Amino acid sequence: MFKIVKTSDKEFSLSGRLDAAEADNALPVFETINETVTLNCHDLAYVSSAGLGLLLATQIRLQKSGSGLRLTQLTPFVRNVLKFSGFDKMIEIVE
Amino acid sequence: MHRATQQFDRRADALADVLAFVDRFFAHIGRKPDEAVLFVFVAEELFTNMVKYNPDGPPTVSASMQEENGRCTLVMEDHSHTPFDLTQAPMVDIDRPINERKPGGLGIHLIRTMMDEVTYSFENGTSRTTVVKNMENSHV
Repeated sequence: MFKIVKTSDKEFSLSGRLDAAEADNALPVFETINETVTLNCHDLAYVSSAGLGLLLATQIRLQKSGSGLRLTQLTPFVRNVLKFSGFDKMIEIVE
Repeated sequence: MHRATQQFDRRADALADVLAFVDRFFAHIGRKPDEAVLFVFVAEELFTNMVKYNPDGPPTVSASMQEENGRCTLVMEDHSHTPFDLTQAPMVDIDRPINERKPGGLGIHLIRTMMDEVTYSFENGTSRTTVVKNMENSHV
């Protein structure tokens, strides 16, 4: 089960597993992001390639206006997926 | 040795069943959920490719898991007219800048990067993908 919750003006909390089915459900929320926001991934156990596609599409859209995603508190698996996919070079990761 | 096999409907909404199968297997062998997540990832990528690229195949596909002395194996089988050998798919150029990144291929790229062994066979219409990870040395 995946959840994305807006926890403050510029921060969302992600939890659960962002798999292919959940990426479709999460799309409407990501489409509301139109400025730089932080995605707190402390409870995000997993992201699949579908989830990566969602992050990439959002980042590309935001960069057109000089904004972007910031990811924080990554779990080890998610961190590795971002590293092995090269996403750590495209999306800001805040330690 | 621990082993389990299950058939899954060839439908996108059966993905949760596939992932639950992997979770149950890892629980059965006494491993923590964060150790299952790598195989959950791989199972999702392989299953969604089967559904997407072989939609007219038989109604079900199969997944088998095996664990012996910390070596975990996942085998996904499908029946198809044409093989797709993921070990021969081009790897993604992960150093390309964002505006040059093309969609697709990332799931296979990550499977081949994160698993210790990835093999493929196609015999008598059976397409079989086998992935192996030695969990004792796993840093993923």
